[in-house]
Amino acid sequence: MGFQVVYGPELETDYYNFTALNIPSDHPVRESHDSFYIDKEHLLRTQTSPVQIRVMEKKKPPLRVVAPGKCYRRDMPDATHSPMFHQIEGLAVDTDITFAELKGVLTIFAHRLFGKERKVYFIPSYFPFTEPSAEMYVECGVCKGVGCKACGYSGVLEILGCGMVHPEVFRIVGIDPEKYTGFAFGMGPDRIAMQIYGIDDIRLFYENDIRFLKQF
Amino acid sequence: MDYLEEEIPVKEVINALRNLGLYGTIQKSIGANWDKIIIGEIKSIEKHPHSENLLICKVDVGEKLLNIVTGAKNVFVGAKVPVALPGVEILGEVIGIREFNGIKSEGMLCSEYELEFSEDKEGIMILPEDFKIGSTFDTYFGKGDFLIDVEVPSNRGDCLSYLGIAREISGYFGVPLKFEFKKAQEKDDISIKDFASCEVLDFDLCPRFTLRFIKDVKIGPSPLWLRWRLERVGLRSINNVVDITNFIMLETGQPLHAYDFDLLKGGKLIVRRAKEGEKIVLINGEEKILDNDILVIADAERAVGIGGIMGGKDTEINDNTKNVLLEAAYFSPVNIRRSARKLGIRTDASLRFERNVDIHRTADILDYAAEMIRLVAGGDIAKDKIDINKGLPSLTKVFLRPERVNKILGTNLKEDEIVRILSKIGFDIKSRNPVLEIEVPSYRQDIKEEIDLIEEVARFYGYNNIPSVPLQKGHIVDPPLTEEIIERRIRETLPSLGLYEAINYSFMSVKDLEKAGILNTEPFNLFIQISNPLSEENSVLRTSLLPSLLNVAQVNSNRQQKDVFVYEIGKVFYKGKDEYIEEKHLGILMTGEAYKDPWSVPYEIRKVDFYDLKGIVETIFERIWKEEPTFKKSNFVVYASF
Repeated sequence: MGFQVVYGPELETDYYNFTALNIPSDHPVRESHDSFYIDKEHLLRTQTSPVQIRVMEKKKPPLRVVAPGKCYRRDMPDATHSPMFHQIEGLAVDTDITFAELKGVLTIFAHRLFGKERKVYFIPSYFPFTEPSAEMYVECGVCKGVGCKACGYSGVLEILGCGMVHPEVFRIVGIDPEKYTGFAFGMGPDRIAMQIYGIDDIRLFYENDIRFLKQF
Repeated sequence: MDYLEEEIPVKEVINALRNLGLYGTIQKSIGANWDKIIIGEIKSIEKHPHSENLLICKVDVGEKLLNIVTGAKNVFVGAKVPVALPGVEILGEVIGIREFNGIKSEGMLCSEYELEFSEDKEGIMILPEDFKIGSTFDTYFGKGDFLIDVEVPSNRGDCLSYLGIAREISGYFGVPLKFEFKKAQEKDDISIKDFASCEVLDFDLCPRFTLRFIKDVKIGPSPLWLRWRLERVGLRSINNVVDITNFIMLETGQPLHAYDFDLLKGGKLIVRRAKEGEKIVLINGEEKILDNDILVIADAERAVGIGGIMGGKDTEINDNTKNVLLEAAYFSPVNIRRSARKLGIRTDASLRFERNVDIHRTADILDYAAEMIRLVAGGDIAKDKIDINKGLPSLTKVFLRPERVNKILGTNLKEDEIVRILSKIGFDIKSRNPVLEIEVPSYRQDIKEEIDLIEEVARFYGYNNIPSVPLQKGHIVDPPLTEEIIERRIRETLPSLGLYEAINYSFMSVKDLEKAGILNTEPFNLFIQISNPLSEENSVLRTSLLPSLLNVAQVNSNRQQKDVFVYEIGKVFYKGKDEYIEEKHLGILMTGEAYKDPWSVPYEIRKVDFYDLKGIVETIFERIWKEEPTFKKSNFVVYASF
C-alpha cells in the first residue's frame, strides 16, 4: 500500500515522546506511560509515535510511513508485561485522508494477517494525538466471537490503536490541518504474535532459549 | 439502571458501552435469586436437643410456619429474616430439606454474604420491622443487579459517575434520563452565617468552595438501601452521613466531605496552601508532612484536610457528631494530581478531581447531598449556603462545519443528521447559519474544538456504520531506506546459514561489561545510566551486544543447550561529547559443536571456531556490498559495524 519503513531513536526526548504528541506535562496519560528516564529531558521512548513527529518535521506531505521498533515502559516483567517491547507505528498524511480510509487500510491488514473470515471492529478510544481515536478488534479465532478463555470471554482480540491525526499535532509540526488530514496507528507485534502462536508469556521473547527461537 | 426512564437489558447496555468506547464488562450478577427469598418472622427459638451450637427456629413465612435449624447466634424472637426455601439456589448450592442431628430443617436463614448483599458472614441478616412477612426480598432491594466494570478513558472525568454513564446510555438509545438533584429543604430560622465562616486564600488551586450547615443530625448506621448501594460496589459502610457523601460521589462524580462542626476550632474553614512542614493525621490514620504546594482546608488553628484528597482524622464524623459542615468544591486538577502523587495517596475523590468535576454543578450537588443527609440522618439544614468563587467560567462555544465532519470521517451525513446526533447527547445548537454554533454542556470539559465534536458525531453515529474504503489517492512510493535494505538482507542471509535471531533487553549492569572484559575499553565504558532502573542488573544502557550475547550462551548452557548459533540486531548507546549516541549493531554468537564435514557418513563432530564466524561475516559482505571484508587483529573482539 506504499508505506515506507522508517526508524527513529529509542533514546528520545520528552518533547518528541510526549509534548509534541499533544501530551503536555501533567497530562493524565503520562501516568500510564511509566518511563525510564536518563535525565530530565531524555527517556527511553514509551511508544513509536514520536517517529510520526520526526517524519512530519522532516518531510512535507503526502506521507505514508511505518516505523517499527523497540519501546520501553517501567513495568515489572510478568506474563503480559515486559519493560522492553515492540511497536509498529503507521502514518498517512495527504489532502483528503478520511477515517473511512483508515478503516479500509487496517481492515485489509487484519484480513491479511488473520484471514478474511475474521470480523473486524472499530471501537472509540482516546489518544491525545489522534481524534477521532479508535481501537481495532478482531473476532477471536478460537471461539469465533462467542467468548472463550483466549479472548477473556469478550469474543474479540484487541489488535491496535488508531485515529485521525489531531489538528494540534499538525499545528505543532507546522502542517496546516485545514489543508491536510491524516491517520495514524500503532500496534504491539509481541501481543499479536502471542495471539497468533498461542504464546502465553511475553517474557519468552526476550529469554532467547534456543529451543523457543527454533520454533519460528 | 435507576437513572433511565426505561429498563434496558444488560446485554444491550454492555454492547452500547463498547460501541461508545467505554469498555464495560460484567463483573458479577448479584441477587438473581432475590425474587425467591421470602421474608419471615421468627416466632420461637429452642435449643437443639443434641447439638449445643444449633438453634431451632419456628419461622412464619406467610402461609405456613417452618422449622429451621440455624447456627447463628444473633437471632431473636420477632426478628424479620430472609428465608431460602428448599429448591432455591444460594451461592451455587441448592437448598434442600436437611436433617441436623435428628431435627428436620425446612429451609435456611440467610446471612448478608449468602445473599451476596455484603461481605458480612457473621449471623443472619436482620431486616427492618416493617418488611412484610411472606413478601420476597426483591420487593425491597430490586430484582438483583449486575455490577459492570467500565473502563473510562482519562479525558472523560464526567463518566466517573453513574449519572455520566447513564447520560451516554441515554443518548445511545434515545431513552430519557430520570434524575434530578433534590433541593435542600431549609429551616428558615437558622442560617449558616450564624455558625460558620469561610475564607479562600488560593483561588488558583480552589476556584470554587461551597458549604452547607446541618444542625442536630443523628449519626447511626445507614439504612439498608444506602448500605446496599455502597456494599455492592465494594465500599465499606461507615455511618449514615459519610455514606451519603460517598453515595452521591458515585452518583454524580462530585466528591464531598463532611466535618464535625463542633470539632472545628473557631467555627471556621480556611482554604490555603500548607505551611512547609505542616503535619496532618488523615482519616486513614496516616500522618503526612506537607509543603507549600499542597492545598489544605484548615480551621482557625490547623489543617483539617488535604483539599480534594482526604480529610483529617481530628474532625471526621463520629458517633457523637451533632452538627455537620458539608463541603463541595472544585480543585485544580493539575494540583490534585501533583499533590496526590507526591503524598502517595490516591483516593476516589482525588481521582475524580484530577479528571475534572463540573464546576457549574458544585452548589446543586451540595444542596442535594445536604437534603439526602437530612432525609437519612435527620437534623435541620440551615438557611443559606457559603459559595465562594471568582465567577464561573462561561460555557464553551464551538463552531462545527458539517462538511468538515464528512471530510474527516469519509461519510455523507446531512446537516440535520449531525444536529440530531449532537442534540440528543446534550449539546445545545445555538444557530445553524452558516456553520453550527454549539454550546457545550458544563460536564463535557473534554470538548474544546471542532474535532472533539466530530468525534462525538462519529461515536454516536457508530464507528461501525462509517464506510471502510481503500486509500483513494495514488501515492508515489518512496524507495526503501538503505538501513532498511541492509537490515532486511541480513535477516534473509543469517537464518539460511543456521543462525536464529535473538532479542535481548537494551539494559544491562556494569558487571556485564566487566564479565565481557570490555569495562575499561572505549567506547564501551561510556555507558548511559538509567535514573530510575527496575533493578541494578538493568541499570545502564548496553554499549555493546557482546554482554547480551554472552548472556544468551549462559542461559542456554544452564538449560543444557550447548549448541547456540544466534545473531542479534539492536541498538547500543553511549555518551558522546555533548550528546547521546545511538547505533544499530549486528552481533553474532556461535558456540557448541558443528559437523566436521556436512556430507560425511557417519558424521563427525567438531567444535565451532573463528573460521565459522569469519565465513558468515564474509557471506554477509558479499551479499550486501558484493565485496570481501578485511580482517584486522583486535585485542578483544572482531567488530563488523554498519
